[in-house]
Amino acid sequence: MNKKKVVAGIFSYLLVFAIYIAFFSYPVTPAYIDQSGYLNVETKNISSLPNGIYKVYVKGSLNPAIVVIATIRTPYIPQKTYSTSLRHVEGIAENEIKERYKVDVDLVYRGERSVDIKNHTIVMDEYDVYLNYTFYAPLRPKVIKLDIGAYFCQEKFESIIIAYAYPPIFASDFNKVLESIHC
Amino acid sequence: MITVAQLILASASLPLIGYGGFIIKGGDKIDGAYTILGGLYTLFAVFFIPSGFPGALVFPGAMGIAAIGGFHSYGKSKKRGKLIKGITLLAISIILILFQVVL
Repeated sequence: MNKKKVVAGIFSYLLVFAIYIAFFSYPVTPAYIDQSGYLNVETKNISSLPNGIYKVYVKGSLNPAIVVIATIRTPYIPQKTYSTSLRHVEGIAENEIKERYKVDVDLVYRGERSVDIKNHTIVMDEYDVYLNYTFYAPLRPKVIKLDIGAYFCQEKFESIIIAYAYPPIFASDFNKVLESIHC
Repeated sequence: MITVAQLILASASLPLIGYGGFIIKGGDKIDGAYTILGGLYTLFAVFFIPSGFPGALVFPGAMGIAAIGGFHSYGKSKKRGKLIKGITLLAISIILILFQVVL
C-alpha cells in the first residue's frame, strides 16, 4: 500500500466523519403538542451535538400537568436503557415537577406500557412520583404519574422524547396529549 | 419527502465511492470494490431509514464492509497493511455502534 492511498483513505474517512458531524449538528424542527389548555412555557436548547431542543407545556397552576417534549437529531431511535438524551429529559421533567409543585420528589419505577401514536408504537416507562410536602397541603395530590418514552420521526430524521407528568385529575388527557404531538 | 438532514447523511456515501474508485484505478480491485459497496450501502440505507432500516448501523455498516474488504485483500495479497486496515476499520465500527447506543 503506497503512501498516496493511505493518505487518500484517511482523508475519505475523515470526510465521512465530518459529514456525520454536520448531520448531527443540523438544526432540528422542535416537535410540539397541540392540545387545548396546555401552554408552552419554555423552549430551550439541550445540546448542539446532537442538536436538540426541548419544550415545556403546562396545564393548570396549583396541581399542574407537565409535558416535556424534546427533539433530538438522530438517524435512529435512542436506545431506551442507555440513552443519555432520555435520561436528560427525565431529569428536566423531574426538575419541572419540583419547581412547579414546590416539593422534593421520589420517583418509583412502576413498569412499561405501550402506546400507539400516529403509526408509532412507543414503549413508555411509568413512574409514580411521590411529592414530599414540607407544608400543609390538604387539597394536593400525594402521588402523580410520570411517563417517559421516545420514538423516531422518520420524516425528519429526529427522535422525539416525551415526558408527561400529571396528577390524577388530568389522567384522561394522556392519550389526547400524545396524539396531539407533531414532529 | 426527502429532507436536508437525509441528504447530508446520504452524501456520506460519496467519499467512500470516490475512494473506492481511486484505489481500483491504482490496481487494488478487491479493496476498492468493497469500499464502493460500503458507499452504495450507505446511500441505500439512508433512503430506507424512513421505512424502518436501523439508522445506527449506517456508518458502522459501511466501515464494516470496508473492513471485510481489507481482510479479503489480505487473504489474497498477504500485505500487512491490508490486515491493519481491516482490524482498524472493524474496531472503529464497533466503537461507533457502542457510541450511538448511548447518545
